[in-house]
Amino acid sequence: MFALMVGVDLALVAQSTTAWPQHESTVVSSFELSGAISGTARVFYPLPLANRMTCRMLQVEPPVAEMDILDAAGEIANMIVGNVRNCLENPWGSIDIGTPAVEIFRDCVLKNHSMSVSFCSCGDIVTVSMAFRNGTAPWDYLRSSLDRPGSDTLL
Amino acid sequence: MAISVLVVDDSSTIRKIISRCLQSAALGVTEVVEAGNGQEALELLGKRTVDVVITDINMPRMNGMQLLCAIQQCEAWKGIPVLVISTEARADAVVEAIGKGAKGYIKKPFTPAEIHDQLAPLVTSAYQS
Repeated sequence: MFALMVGVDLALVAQSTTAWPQHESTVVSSFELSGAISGTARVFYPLPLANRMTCRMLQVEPPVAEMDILDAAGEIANMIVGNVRNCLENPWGSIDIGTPAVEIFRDCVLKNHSMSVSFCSCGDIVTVSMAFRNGTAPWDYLRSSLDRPGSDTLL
Repeated sequence: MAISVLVVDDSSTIRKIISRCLQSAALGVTEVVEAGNGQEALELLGKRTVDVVITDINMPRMNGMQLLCAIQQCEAWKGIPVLVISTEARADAVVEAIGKGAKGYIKKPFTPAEIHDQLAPLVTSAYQS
């Protein structure tokens, strides 16, 4: 369904490594989580992939305006993080997701994260990272969810 | 009969995607108007009529639930069917939306077929009224 709406296929990268978007410019969408679990969720895409996804969602030819890329990237991340939230709510309880903050960074490096999951699309890497503030962090639950067949349910 | 739809979402990308789905749904939708949040939607409804409202839930200024309540509380608007499209998949969110008057609920990401299937009965109802 994600591929149908966004127009790209994303395949889960092996969990033994955290892959990282390999491009000088990275689009970062950040969300604050609150409620049963509090923390920050971020989705990172290389700018060329974000550009492609935006073009496919809007069904236009490149280039697209940066404003459109930021909006599309935020909405895609909203759906990804929303699905993660839906997975976590069943055992943990109600979780609210804040409005996304979306920016383009140069030479971005992932730091201070509790858990990251990476997906690959035609050689480009999308990384979802979550940092939790609560004492009870659900990363073991998330990892076990990702190890199950059909673990791309995040999408 | 021409059907007009008000699409309410803070994402311009989603508004464009929904608009495209509506125009290709073969349901007689001839006009799509857009609003970026519930407050803008109410301002539009104050100026013109629409046959169906499609709204997100999580929006700044006024969210979808607040918009639903405002529409239901206004005599001139409460007959307009409202379809909710949101990343919220919790059963209680769906129940809350339906309880506040929504006629349908679609979870993001969605397919054009889902838009069509949920919208078709609302359009039929609009034709009959």
